[in-house]
Amino acid sequence: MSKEQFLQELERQLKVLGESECERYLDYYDEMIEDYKENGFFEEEAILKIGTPKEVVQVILGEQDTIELKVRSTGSKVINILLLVLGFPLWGSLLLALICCIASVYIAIMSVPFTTGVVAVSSLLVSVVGIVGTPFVIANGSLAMGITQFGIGICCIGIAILSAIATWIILKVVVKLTIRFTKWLISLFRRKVVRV
Amino acid sequence: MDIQLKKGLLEFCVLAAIKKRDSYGYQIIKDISGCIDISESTLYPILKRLMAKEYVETYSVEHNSRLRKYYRITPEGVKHIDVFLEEWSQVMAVYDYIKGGKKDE
Repeated sequence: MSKEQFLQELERQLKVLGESECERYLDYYDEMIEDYKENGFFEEEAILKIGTPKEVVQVILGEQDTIELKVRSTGSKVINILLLVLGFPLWGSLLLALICCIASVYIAIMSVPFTTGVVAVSSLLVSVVGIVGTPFVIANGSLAMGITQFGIGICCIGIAILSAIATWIILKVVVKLTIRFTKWLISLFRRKVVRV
Repeated sequence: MDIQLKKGLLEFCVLAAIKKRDSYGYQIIKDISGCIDISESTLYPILKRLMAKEYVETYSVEHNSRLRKYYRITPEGVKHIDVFLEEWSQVMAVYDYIKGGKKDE
């Protein structure tokens, strides 16, 4: 095995330690082999004395206090960025669709208390207008119609109160649901940490 | 020799070799291999530890158109050796005790 081969093999296996750390080891073994050669050893002899790359790596990794794991989907950063840019039409539209889906879930959940809320407000409005308008209808000469309108107005107060209570209860449930859904959504994106 | 004991002693051997004169990897191994067994792969982690604790510092010297990394001891490094030598009397007391205990058997 030549020095080049030895160092290349070492570099391949020590990459996990990070570039600068790996570089320091390579410099060290490069210097060591050169010093052996200067002291009358052949390159092959020097490498035999130092050991196989596998043995050397075992000693080095055994001495590490902490091992940093660097897992990459592809080999280089440039390729990663390039793929990201080229793939935008695909993942961009998918991301948009996902955001729309999430938004529709929020809207669907909120639509329930919104509906009951609208019912409450409108029935309150109807009852106020109905009751306040009753004397005018009676003054116009139609007693039966006035009483009917008054009755409907009273009914609408009841509906308004009931739907307001329903809105309040549903709103509480919905807020709870929304918080849980959001937490679940965040947990999907939280980084997975691997401890060795 | 016991691995842990050797590991501890090696650190001081390397430090002592650098204390005698500024030295580089190959020279350190040559200097101390007469006294204790050391390989190229075990030396570097020791040097790294010594550097991390700032007991040694490094500088590069051009040699035959390549760079050679030299190690120089710092005042902290010298103090570290002194502390070790002082503590060794305690180790000797333990040694005597162990040896004496054997004699009594």
